[in-house]
Amino acid sequence: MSGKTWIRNAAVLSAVALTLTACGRDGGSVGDDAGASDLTSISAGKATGDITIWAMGTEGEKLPEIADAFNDANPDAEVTITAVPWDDAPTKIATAITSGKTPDATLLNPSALASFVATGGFAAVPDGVADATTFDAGSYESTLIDGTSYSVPLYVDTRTLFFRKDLAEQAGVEVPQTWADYPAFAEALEGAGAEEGLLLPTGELGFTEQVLIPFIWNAGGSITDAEQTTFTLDSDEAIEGLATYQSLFTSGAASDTGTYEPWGSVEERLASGEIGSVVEGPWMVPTLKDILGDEYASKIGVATIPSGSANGQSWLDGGQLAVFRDAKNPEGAWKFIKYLSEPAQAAQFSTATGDLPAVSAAWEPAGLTADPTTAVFSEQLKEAASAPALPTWNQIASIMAGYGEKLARGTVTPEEAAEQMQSELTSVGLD
Amino acid sequence: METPTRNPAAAAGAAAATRTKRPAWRRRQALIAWAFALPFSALFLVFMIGPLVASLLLSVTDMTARDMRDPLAVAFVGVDNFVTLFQDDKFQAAILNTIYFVGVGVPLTIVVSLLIAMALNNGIRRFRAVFRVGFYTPVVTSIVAIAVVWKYILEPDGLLNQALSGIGISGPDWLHDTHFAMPSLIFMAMWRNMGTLMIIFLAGLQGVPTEVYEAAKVDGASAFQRFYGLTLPLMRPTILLGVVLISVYYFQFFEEAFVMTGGGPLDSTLSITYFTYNQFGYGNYGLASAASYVLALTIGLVTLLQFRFLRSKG
Repeated sequence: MSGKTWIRNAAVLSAVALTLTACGRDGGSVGDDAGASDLTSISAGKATGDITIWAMGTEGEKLPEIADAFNDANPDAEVTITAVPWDDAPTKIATAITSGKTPDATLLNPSALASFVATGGFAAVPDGVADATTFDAGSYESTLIDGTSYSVPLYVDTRTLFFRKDLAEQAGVEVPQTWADYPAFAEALEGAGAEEGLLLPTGELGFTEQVLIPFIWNAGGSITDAEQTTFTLDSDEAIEGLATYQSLFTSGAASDTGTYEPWGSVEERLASGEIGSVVEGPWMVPTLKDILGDEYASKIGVATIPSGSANGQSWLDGGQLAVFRDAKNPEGAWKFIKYLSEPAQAAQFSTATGDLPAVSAAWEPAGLTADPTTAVFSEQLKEAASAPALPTWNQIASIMAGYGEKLARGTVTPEEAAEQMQSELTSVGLD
Repeated sequence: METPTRNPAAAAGAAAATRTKRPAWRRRQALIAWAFALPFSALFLVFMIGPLVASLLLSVTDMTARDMRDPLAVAFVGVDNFVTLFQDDKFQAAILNTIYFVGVGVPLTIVVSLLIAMALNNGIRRFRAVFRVGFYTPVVTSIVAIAVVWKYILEPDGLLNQALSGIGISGPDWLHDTHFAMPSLIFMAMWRNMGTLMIIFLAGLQGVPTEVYEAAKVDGASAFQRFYGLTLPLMRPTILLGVVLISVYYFQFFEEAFVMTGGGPLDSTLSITYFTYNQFGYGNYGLASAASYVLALTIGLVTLLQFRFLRSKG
């Protein structure tokens, strides 16, 4: 090499080395310094300024209606709701947090909250926005990360059993109270004309683990211990829950290649009798009513899910509103969220979207206490739990969904699955 | 013609000038050339080279989604990510699946495209344009549209199994059976990409002079001998191009698995790119960047080997 090339290479190498020395963790956790700038309380009085909010799906379409009323009540403020597709939401929120150019607030799922809070991208909820007692207990709990609330619940959903009431009557069976009795129920439904007694999603991230995890809870197990210091999937209770889950496939009650896809087909399959029963959420109701019309009441039964040996906890999910730390108008955003959490507005939102409001006092104005179907949801909400608030939840959910598939197909035993999940999840970590 | 007389000193001076300092007009020309190239170069540097270098740097750190607001505060971990990758069961499965896909898919696509191109070149006289459009349409069709149709066809009681039951075979659940999911995807990828190669091979075949074939026929060579002894060697550069293009694309296969099987029954259709996509989704940015560099290096190596073996001799 000539002298010039040598010098040039050395210069490049030292530049790279110097850049790398600029990197390095300093040991402090990310959210520490930024916490000082969060609002601790919001002022009384009307909101001012522009408020931008991201919302997804149907909620994104219907929130502008309530925003209009807010704009009228607060003439100095202007709320803009930007509709974002659910699939794009995690990427968009992550990009916004990274670049520092965020809207004021966003809608998100409870399971996504922990990972965003770990980046320090969301601000803690200040005093005066909403009282913890306003909301359904489970939904409020899912806003807590390390004891601090980082979001305000907007709507909840939980999973209940939907089944063909007419086929069950025809077969002379009633909804079983425990999972142990389920195979017989499923068989009876099949005898009365259903092709598959029970539909359980297998191999589908986003649903498989939401159906699998309640089985662990129902047997008295849990994913982590109470302080969230370690995973507890290798407990006897968890193994029992996994065994109950697997027994539904081995007994023939559910197919090992069951799937909810294509989206919207579950309602059709239930209405046509292709499946006899399924554990699903409140969004099924409007579509089923569309498909069946007058026959809905006679054909579709809704019940709380059967219990395991310990309880009958179902999966709790929903939507929450969180305000970004880099928001330009956090006070305005919190005031809008406070407005949404009033029973009248929450009821209006619920009627428009069909979601169940997180605000307990909004159920009556929204007419949900009178409807027999939503009465079942209300009942189930008393016995529902949500995923642990872990920043690594995406990966954990994916691993558990993978084991759900393996259990369904019988390629692992419950003991093996519990052991392997425990070691895999421990290597992923709790933060 | 009169040769201009030259002053020896001036000539020596001019010679010295061309060795060390370009004349002004050459410099201006070079400057103008660079100015024209600047917009593209700037965009290329910022949007292609920049992210490339950034992800290389990412792959030797332990950056996760938690570090989004403070990207420089990450630790340098050297080759740890790469070691973790190769010890990971899912990555090993992804490597095997990718090799399976490429190893079967590339020869299959090449052979089928070559046959179609030859048929279109020699055999089919009428409606040639219709056939060409028909074979090329899958290439330009959206993968989502293709997935909807193919999922319908490959359902347990879908079109394919109905056709098979007509001849007495009871077909499996193609997309949910761990043995048949990958072959289904390979076939679908072949169906989708044979159009591209068909166009390339057609052009190559039309570049072969017909006199060569006539001479061979006169010498009494059979159709197979003509193909093996004439067409293949003469098409070598075109086949090399086809092989390289399609392997680079197949090594990165992701779309088909993403829309059809979601990684497959029990990870049987999980490819390296799909693994990388999942890791980015989990927020393991360092690990995901390492995985994508492993893939990039592999593709580079394989392409190099292909050039070695398939280049024209002489």
